[in-house]
Amino acid sequence: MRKAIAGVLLILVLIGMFMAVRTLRYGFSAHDEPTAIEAVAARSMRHLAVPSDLRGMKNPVALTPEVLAEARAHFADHCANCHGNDGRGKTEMGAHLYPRATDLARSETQSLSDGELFATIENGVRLSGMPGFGNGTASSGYASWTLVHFIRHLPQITPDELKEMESLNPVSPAERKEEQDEELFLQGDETTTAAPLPHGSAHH
Amino acid sequence: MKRRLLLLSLTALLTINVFAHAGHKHVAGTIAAFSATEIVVKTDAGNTTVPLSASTRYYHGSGTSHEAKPEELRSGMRVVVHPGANGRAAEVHIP
Repeated sequence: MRKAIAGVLLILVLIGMFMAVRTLRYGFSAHDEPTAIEAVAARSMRHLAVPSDLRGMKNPVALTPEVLAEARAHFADHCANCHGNDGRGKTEMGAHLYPRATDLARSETQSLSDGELFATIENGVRLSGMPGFGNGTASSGYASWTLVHFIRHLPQITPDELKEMESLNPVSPAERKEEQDEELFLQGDETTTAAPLPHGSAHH
Repeated sequence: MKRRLLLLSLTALLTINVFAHAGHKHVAGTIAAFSATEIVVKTDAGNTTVPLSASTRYYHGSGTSHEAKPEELRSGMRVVVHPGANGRAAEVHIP
């Protein structure tokens, strides 16, 4: 028995040494995909981080078209920068976070309870890019519950809704002009004034 | 000697800045060639090759609400490529 325990400990020490040497030599980067161990640890931590009284809680805010529209606008303004308007997380920011921004439309996320989604929005997730947006007020809680409704709606989101959200995404005047110029360029406009797009070049 | 060191430091700093900036430049032009792994964009400054990846997203128009497919790319088509921080194409926009 002692030999078996010693063997296991030796293997763990060797793995630890290998990882330490590898890290010291190559460093680590947010470009890497999280390992299976990290993914399991992160999911476990997220589960443990949810207060027990919230885990089984149902959304107390009634779902109406107005509530959904309100949440859609809120999401476009505060969440889409990382998660994207469609919630898939395929944005420049979300795709390069470590861990990546969660795909909110996929079944793993949709299977979380209302309370778990609410707690994640309100309290954030440690060691990830997810901030805690709540401040303990009733208005903050209401906004987070409406967002839970919108997250539930994401798998059925329509192109019209996505188009509307685009107009609500926070963009600087320069970014807005850049997007307009790109649209004109793609449509074949030869008179687009924003140099150097019309004739093809690289710009920031 | 001090002057040389100063020049060397400045050159190093400028080089880092160029590399850091290059990852975010949008590349606009026409498609000169493309494959499953890269897209070559013809610009006035010459051809620019941007690697594609499994996470590259394709869109119609400059927004992100109308998804396109890589099979829709055609040589000669206007295109705007948004490289990601890793230098690979994050988004490819076509008409």
